[in-house]
Amino acid sequence: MEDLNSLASCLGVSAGKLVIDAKEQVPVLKAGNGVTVRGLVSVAKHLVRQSDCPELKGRSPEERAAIDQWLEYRVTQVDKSLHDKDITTVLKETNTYLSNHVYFVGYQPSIADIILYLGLFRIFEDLTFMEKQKYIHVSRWFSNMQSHFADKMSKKQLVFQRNKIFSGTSH
Amino acid sequence: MKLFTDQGNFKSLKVIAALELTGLPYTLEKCGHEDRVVPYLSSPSLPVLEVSLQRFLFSPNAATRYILNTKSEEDDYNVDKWLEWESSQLQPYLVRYLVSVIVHKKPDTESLNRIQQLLKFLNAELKSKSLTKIQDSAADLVLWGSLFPVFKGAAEIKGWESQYSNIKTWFNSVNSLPCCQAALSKVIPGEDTTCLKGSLSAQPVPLLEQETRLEEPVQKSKPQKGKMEKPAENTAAEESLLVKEASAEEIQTAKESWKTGKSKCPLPRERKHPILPNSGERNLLITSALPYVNNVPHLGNIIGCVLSADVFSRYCRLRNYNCLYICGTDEYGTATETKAIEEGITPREICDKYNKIHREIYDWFNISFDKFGRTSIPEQTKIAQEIFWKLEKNGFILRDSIEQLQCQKCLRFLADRFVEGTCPLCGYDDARGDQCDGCGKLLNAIDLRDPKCKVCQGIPMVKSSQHLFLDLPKIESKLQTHLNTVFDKGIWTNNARVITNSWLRDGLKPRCISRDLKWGIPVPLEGFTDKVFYVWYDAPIGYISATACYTDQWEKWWKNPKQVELFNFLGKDNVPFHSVIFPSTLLGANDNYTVVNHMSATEYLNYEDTKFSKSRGTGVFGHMAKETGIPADVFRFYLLYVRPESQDSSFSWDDFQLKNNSELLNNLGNFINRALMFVSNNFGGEIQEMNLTEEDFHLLALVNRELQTYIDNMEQIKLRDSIRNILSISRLGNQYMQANKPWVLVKGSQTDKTRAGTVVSLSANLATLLSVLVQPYMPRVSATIQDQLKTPDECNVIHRVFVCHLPPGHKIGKPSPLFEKIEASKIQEMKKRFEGEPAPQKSSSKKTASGSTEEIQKLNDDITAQGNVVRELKAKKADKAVINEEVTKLLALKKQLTDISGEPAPGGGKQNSKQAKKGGDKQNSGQANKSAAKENKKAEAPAVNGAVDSKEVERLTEAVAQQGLKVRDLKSQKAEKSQIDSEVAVLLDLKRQLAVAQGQDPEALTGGKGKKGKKK
Repeated sequence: MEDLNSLASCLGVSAGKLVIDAKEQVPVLKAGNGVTVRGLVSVAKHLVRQSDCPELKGRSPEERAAIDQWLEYRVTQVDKSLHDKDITTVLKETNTYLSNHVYFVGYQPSIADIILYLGLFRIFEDLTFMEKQKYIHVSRWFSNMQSHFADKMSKKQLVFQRNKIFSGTSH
Repeated sequence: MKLFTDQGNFKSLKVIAALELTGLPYTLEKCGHEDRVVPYLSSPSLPVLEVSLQRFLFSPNAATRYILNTKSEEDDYNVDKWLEWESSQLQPYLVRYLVSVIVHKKPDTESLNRIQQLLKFLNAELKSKSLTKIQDSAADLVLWGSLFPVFKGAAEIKGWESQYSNIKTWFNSVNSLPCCQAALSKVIPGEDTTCLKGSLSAQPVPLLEQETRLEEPVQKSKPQKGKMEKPAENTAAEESLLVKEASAEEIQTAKESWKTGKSKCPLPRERKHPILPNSGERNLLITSALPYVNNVPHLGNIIGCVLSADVFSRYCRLRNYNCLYICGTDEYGTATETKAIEEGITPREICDKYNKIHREIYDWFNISFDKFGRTSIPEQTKIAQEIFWKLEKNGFILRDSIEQLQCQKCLRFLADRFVEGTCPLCGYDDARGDQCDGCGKLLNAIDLRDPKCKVCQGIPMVKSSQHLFLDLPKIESKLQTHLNTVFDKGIWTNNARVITNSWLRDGLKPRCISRDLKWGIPVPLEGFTDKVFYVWYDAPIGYISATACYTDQWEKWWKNPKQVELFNFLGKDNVPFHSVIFPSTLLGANDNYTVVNHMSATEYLNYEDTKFSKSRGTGVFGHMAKETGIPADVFRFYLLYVRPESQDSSFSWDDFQLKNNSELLNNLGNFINRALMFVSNNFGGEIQEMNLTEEDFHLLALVNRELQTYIDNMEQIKLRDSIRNILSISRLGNQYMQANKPWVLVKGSQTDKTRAGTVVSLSANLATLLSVLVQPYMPRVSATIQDQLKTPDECNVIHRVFVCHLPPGHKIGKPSPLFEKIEASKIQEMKKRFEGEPAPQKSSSKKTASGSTEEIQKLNDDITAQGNVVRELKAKKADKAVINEEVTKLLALKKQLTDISGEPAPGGGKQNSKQAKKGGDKQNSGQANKSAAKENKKAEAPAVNGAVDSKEVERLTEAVAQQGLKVRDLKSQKAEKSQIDSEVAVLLDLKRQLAVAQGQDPEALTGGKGKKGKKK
């Protein structure tokens, strides 16, 4: 919910009537003309469609599909990882993936990066410096993302160490 | 495009349907259930679409949509909505439900309820007859694929068609599409959804949002947090228990079983040795992996096999199954021989000595073997050789030569462990023939540089020697057939399946079964008589020989696969020997042997946050458990509570204390003691007439529910889950007492008093039930309860429903508390006692490898030189500040040497800063302080270890406060500026360390003056 408002303000579009379905705990956007969009990912994609930042949608069918899958990753994995073990899995997977990718999809930030940045914020907030260094690739990406978006979304800047201070954890 | 999928994965339905619909060319790549296709994901989730080389779509929904979009692209928000709904809301419950029905054959009603709600929503949204404006969109195919298994076949939700008519119309029209039919024929041939079983049980289950995960082991990386949460969890569970509704049927059953009483409950069966299989009933042969004789087992070993098998076999006895529990020590092999040489006695004496130790440990833990044998006995030799001859006769034995080291002096071939030399990989000069302790890699003995015989230090030569091999490839198909049947019908833990399958997937290779040793079973074949059998060939035969020692009619157990079910309990490291090699041996012998049907393999148990280690003395070992003064039953309870069933778990003293005090003492012990005390104090120890009300039957219905789950869990060997059922029953009992307040009633009118009698007498009967249910877990506690209750012997049977064993008029004995509180001080003492030496830090061992001898030599020289400088200065009575500076340099050098060589050099960090504090001269001492503190930090950083180290934080906070006082004092005394500055520098560095220990940003904390004390 908060994430979607941040996104809307960043994209410069109106979030319209955004409510939470109390029973299912799912955000619902009443966009007018009888259009009702359900779900975090769906609303996010809808907001991008309304905005004048079409490059966030991906530039080829393949990129769009990859974006779809990482958006799904946010709602099925990141948001549902409440236990330490699952959080570690998410960090490990994204870290390995980003070890040879600059962004999640393609060569510029996409909606997948934004939504994952917002989703991982909660996890990164709790990390110690040691852990941030351990997941160095995803940390690099996160730090990059927050330099792009943190201010626009009025998110707190999390602090990353620029030099390695812990021995024995690097890859 | 390439689609990777495993056999019978319902999630591939939608993707294949999309591929069929578009007519795109594709290849279907069949892989195993556990194959990881996408390199960066840690779970083996399938199917995966490879769009182009090494570009994967691991989300089947995204893949389906992508395929359809290659023909005509849509960007519809309704498609978004349904795909998101399916993946984030429907799938978590759908998969759980399918697993519960198809794999466990026990429908999970909670998931079903959620699915029904979701279907209701879908049905309402489907008013317009189609999901989206687009014909046959990704949404249609995705939902069709997911819902198919709950709409057709084994897991069909009964009555869905009438309940959700809109869904029915939509589903039938999608289902009849040719592309969907084509996908079905590939994934679920004949629409028989039971073929999904393998994939469902192996594939990861999607995460749930707010799940109270009971199977989660009580592990925590952030201890402070974990402790805070646990009591809250308990109260939450307590509140919800009695409020649960029991159905009318359940209440009816409770009433009937109360009325008919014991008449339908079977009598306990008398166990008369020797126990032999009987035709026409279940005959269970239970084995626990044979512990290796000269290892003293630690708690992890104990829960891994002997204790788990003990609980299961005690349960089977209480269920009146005909069962036999066999174990013993595994005594042959290299390790024993090495140990014997070390201690200077014969292998036989070693075995006798350790076999006794094992027996004593298992006695103390109250493990009820029917026979505890050993492998170094004539029966073993006879049976092992007999099986060998059968294998030889059937053509399953190969002869081949292998290169081996032979010692020129001792004139014998050296087993891997008998060779020492320089590691060819890292140059470590004390590597063993099988493994290098320096780099940890596995080695081949012949690859060692400068090999030496461990016994005589002679130089061995490479010689080729003839050996015998078991021709596993030839037996493989037979084994596969057997495994297919038992995987399907038997109970196999996931890890056992996975490990076995990974062995089979790569194809089996012939395996050497002879060794050049003396301590073993002699190979009877001409030309090989100087060799013995490989220990893993003969060890499992120990089960047979132990049975042969137990009864001369052992063949009734071991050559009777039609009537006997064989259960193996073991740790996961032993799986291949029990699931591949031993079954192959028996099948190859082709003599109608009983081959494994069920396998329960545990994961590993850690000790606190590290591993058990004999050499470092970390962790509780069998013989020490007794010395703790804590009863064996409490150990048994806790070990089973944290039994590493689905993943590694750990033994933690804090948790041990918590479980003892909260579950045993406050829950189970409290309920039983309270009930008994009441009967004893207020009713003269006599069970009263019980007139049960509706509320009481409601309680019994809930108890029955737990009891039935207890039985179901036990039948599936989910020993950890059954403990939760026991605790739930006693929690129900506590709440029942609390709700009825017999201590108030007993002081009231006659009716009230009668009611109090009913409540406490029913509670005493519940205590009887509990005494039986805890018996597999805590046999002594069970006996104590039964002694206090004076229960009749015939109660010792586990029946599916609650029955009254203590009739009105029954006299109970004298109640006394069952458990003792464990105090925090005791836990501290235990922690300290079993902590052992600290584990070597990985970072330092890495540095060992990197620190060349030249570097070390140079540092040593520097240290000597610097030492001379310091001595000279001291002799000259130089300025104290100058001396201090030089001392600090010396200490820093020593620290460097420690880091690089892994060897301690005198002079640690603490001494360092103490020296620095005395500083006088401004510039110099500031410099010294800085480097000293830096060394400190470097040394402490690894200790932070990811989580916040509370002790360290406490120590540093204290130090900061002290130093702050000191600085203020100096300032108020108007001391010399240089002195103040140096103390301030110390303070700032302490603050930095504190920030790092707390996981905060050190840069942010030290502002203003702090910059002075730092570089950059």
